[in-house]
Amino acid sequence: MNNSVERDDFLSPAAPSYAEATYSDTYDNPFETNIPQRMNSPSIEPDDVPLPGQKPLSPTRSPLPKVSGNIGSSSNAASSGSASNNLGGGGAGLGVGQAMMGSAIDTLDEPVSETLLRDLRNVGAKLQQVLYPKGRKDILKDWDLWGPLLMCLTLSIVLSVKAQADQKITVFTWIFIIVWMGSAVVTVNAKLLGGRVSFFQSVCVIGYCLFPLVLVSIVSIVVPSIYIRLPLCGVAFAWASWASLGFLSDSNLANRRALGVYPLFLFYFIIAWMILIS
Amino acid sequence: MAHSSAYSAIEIDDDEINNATELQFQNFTSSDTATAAPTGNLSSSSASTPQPRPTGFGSSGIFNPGRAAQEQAVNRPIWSIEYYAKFFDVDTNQVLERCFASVIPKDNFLEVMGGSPDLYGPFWIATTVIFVLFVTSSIVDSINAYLNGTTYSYNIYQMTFAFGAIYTYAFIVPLMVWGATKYFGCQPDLLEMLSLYGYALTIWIPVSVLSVIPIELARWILLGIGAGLSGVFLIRNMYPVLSRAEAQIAKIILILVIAFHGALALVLKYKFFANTSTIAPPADPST
Repeated sequence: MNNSVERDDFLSPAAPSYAEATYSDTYDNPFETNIPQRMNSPSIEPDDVPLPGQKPLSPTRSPLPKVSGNIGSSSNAASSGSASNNLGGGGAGLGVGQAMMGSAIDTLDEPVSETLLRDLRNVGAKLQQVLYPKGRKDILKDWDLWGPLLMCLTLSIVLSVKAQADQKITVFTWIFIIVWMGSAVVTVNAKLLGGRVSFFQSVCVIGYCLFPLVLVSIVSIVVPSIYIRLPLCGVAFAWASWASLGFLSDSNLANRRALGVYPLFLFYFIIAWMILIS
Repeated sequence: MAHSSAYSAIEIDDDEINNATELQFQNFTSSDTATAAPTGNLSSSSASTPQPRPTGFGSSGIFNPGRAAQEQAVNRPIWSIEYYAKFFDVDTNQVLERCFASVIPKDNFLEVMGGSPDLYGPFWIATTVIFVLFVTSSIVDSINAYLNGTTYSYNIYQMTFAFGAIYTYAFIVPLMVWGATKYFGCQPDLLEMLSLYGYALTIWIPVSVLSVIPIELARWILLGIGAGLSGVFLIRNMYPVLSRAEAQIAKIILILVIAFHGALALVLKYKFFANTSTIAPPADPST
């Protein structure tokens, strides 16, 4: 519980590996202990493989200086004063994570379309997960803000197009504010109540779970009848709440669960209402 | 940009227990544990870290977030989120009890709060009132439009106005009352004042919902009930504070409080529950 601060700002994933490095550095020769471990990790794999058509000068020596240079800098950073370094480890830890992420898939020589499509496919997989929240729950744990932005913009544009002529800008602003401020406030509220949630994960989940409502708002462009839109909005509201509850269920709020969940309902309800009356 | 394989290292928050065991397994020295905390006061936080852990390990059910939040709030800097956790240290039952006590003001509210006023109630009750006002006023307008035979399109400025009016009443007015009473030496508590004003808004939720009924007399009666109950609630609980000032000044502040309260009630009536006749005159010349 007390550690939830550190856990939330993403330096903790790096912390174990960091601690390991610090630990081993202080007692062992870093070159002996770290090289095998580092060579197993995928992040430096490209360095070890000689380029095709290029012969290494001396097969025994040439990979080593490269690798040790790499390690040297990182172990330098790790061992240069344990206190200050671990304190400021947020940025460094993130850097390590990004380095790992970047090299997990080789994205250097792929076409741009492939890069964009991969992100879109990611968003698509998460949307599918929201619509049918039965399979892999953890897919929404690697958060992104593209999906929420997409939901928010779609909703804002659809609703502002349907608003009165002199209120279009205000409607757009309100939807935009409600979606972003709403998800932020709901998350901060859960944190203040003592729940274990990560800020961006929660914002991501709340944003993605708008998807049923976004679908209904698009449908209601062509369906003016209130008798069809009312049940549709009700179903979408229930769906969105249910999906987001499923993802956020493990926030450990014991006997104040209702206090954390209520703002979430309020958030989806007001958006569902605006879709209904627009 | 987001690849599950890479980010899997980041999903820490949910399996806290795993992570905690990992951290302990790696045999941190005391200096390592202390450095894990980003705040300045390393010694105190590292000292309090191990205490909740053992209960958290056994089963998460034993773990009591309220107590932990209280412990956590000690020695936090004012700009961190954890500092404000102590204002949100309430359970569901407590909040419901306070809402109920504010709607039916027969007990002393400060006793109901038991010396721990919260900000959860004021903030979320105010926000709820804003949204309820928007929802009911759009229903009222659509009923008016239906009765007048015109088509209805919603007015987003109702939302803007509701936000301005309610947040002003819930946060600015208590701040002003607090400032005034403080100036005249009544020793008020800002948190209590905010709680008082926030929970006093509870009655407007049922009143707004019931004001959908398109009968003018019923709306006025509801408005009177709402304003009366919350007014009695406010004055009754503010009186002990006000009575510490001189009689003349206490009277003036009391009148101002009642004036603000009446103004809110009238604004709600004419802005959100306007009857058909106030809508009709602009439509009359055209017919």
